Amino acid sequence: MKSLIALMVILPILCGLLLNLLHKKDRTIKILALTVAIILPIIPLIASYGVYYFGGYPPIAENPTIAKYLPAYITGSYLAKFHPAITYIFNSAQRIFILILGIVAFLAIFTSLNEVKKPSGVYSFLMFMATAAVTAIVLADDIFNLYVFFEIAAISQAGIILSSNIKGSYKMALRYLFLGGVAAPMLLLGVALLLGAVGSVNISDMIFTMKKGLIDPGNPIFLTAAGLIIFGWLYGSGLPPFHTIKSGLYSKALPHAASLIQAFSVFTLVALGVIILRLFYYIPVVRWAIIIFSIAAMALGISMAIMQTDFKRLIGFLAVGELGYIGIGLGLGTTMSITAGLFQAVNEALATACLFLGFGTILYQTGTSEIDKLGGLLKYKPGVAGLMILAGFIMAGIPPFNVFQSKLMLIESAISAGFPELAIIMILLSIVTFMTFMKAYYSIYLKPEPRGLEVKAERIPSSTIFSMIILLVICTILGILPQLATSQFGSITHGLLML
Amino acid sequence: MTLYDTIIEKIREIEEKTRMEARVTNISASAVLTAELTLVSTIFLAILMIRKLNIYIMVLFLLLVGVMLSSMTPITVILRREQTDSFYKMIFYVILTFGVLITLLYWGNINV
Repeated sequence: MKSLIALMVILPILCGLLLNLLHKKDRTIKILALTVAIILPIIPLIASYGVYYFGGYPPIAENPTIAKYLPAYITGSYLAKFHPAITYIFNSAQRIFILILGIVAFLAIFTSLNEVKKPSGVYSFLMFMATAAVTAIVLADDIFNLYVFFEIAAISQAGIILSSNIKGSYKMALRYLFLGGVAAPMLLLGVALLLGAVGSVNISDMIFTMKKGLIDPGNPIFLTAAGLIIFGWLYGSGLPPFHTIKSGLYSKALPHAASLIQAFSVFTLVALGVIILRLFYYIPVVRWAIIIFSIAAMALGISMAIMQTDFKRLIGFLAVGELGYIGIGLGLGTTMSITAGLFQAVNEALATACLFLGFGTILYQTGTSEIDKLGGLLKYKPGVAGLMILAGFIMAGIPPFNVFQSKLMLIESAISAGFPELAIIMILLSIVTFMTFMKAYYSIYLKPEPRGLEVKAERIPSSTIFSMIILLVICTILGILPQLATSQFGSITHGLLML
Repeated sequence: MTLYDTIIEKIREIEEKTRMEARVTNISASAVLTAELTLVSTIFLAILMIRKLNIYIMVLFLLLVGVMLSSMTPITVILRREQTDSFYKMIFYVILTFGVLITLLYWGNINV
């Protein structure tokens, strides 16, 4: 069942390519896209844990058939332990990340297909390609392969925005690509420096060389590579200074696409963040940098969110702000904090997806996202308003939901690590998140309906409501039984702290 | 003039400059005030973390930032002006961050 590891990436790519070719064959597109979207979260559930080598080439040390033909100075050296093939690692942590990504992707694709009579094969292709790319980023133990999929994810996300047909979406997508033109080559340069220093692009090989003392992690090439890779990480995940463009990107996407793109940001942040920790755990300034950027993301994202008058931009900034909590978990670098950070990532992907879909219902009803032009929507769809307030409670960290559990774990881990200031910052910003959401909720649902507002209550697609309910149910289950997720992160936390 | 009045005045100034037609409502004023207080408290709390590196540097930073903030208040207005969708501002902060990040990582390990 190890071949299923590769299938997690290959299947959505193949499906995407087919959908592209089948453009305008509406019924076939719907059936194919839905079938593959349903399969996506199932594969990680049935796949076996392990390492997958593309081409079937394990390290020489594990491959006696090849080793017997090689001279002793190779088989006896550290080179025998290097990974010649592109390697994917699939453990319990990767399982839960890809499962959650698969669920969000399924719900986004399902909602997208139900919203339109004539689905676009090209649009579905972009959604599948980006999902495949982020899955590969989560699985990759090869930093060059990771970079390739990092670029594919960025281009696909820009493509999704370009296809949204929202005013200003072209400009925003192009700005995102231009900024990517600065950040992504820096990431590639970091990869090149590491390759030059170690002689391999495999992350496990890099760690092996450091552990064996073959390379000094404090040497200037390694430090510069750390800076360049962190810079790429900031772009991929939308941490400052990329928070403005990322929140803009969310606001120019259709609601289901925004729910998927934010999940891409969350899992890119986690996957690259864990790699940065694995590679540069020895360098304390790296963890400081992660904490500083995370605090900046929280403070800037949440402060900007509360001042917004457009609810799509508001939720975009909130989503960026919440990423900071994940970064703090990783930056503190303790078992508890890393577990809490990873749990927060899972929770945020679910809660923010639900909020984006929920705010999308207001767009269906009124056609505007300007908070000042809205009001009194509670009487039209009280059920949807109820789901929305639950989604807001989840994001703010109100018990008994999942985000409460992960934020509590983060606060406890900050205090245990000797950083009570961080705990206070997290509490303060959670309160402001709650206030931001309630401000938007009051303005949209509770304040008197403004004159001239046209409400078309019948226009909310049932697939959106279905998706919101599924996400809320998962959030509640993870809130009551957090160990369902937290017990899965041992493979990452122990691996990191054994370094 | 109280902090509240200063903030309202600054919002009006910005709106006049950008020719925005939106009114300054109770909600928008309280939102800006909350953002201001949140930012200031977060900055001060974050500076306290420097005590792990050096307590004297922390005190120096607290004093410096305290003086800067008192002269720049309200900072949310500056923040709002800088955090726009302008590509030039975005690229400026991207390059600035890149420079600071590489310098700190390199210098922070070689010379400390």
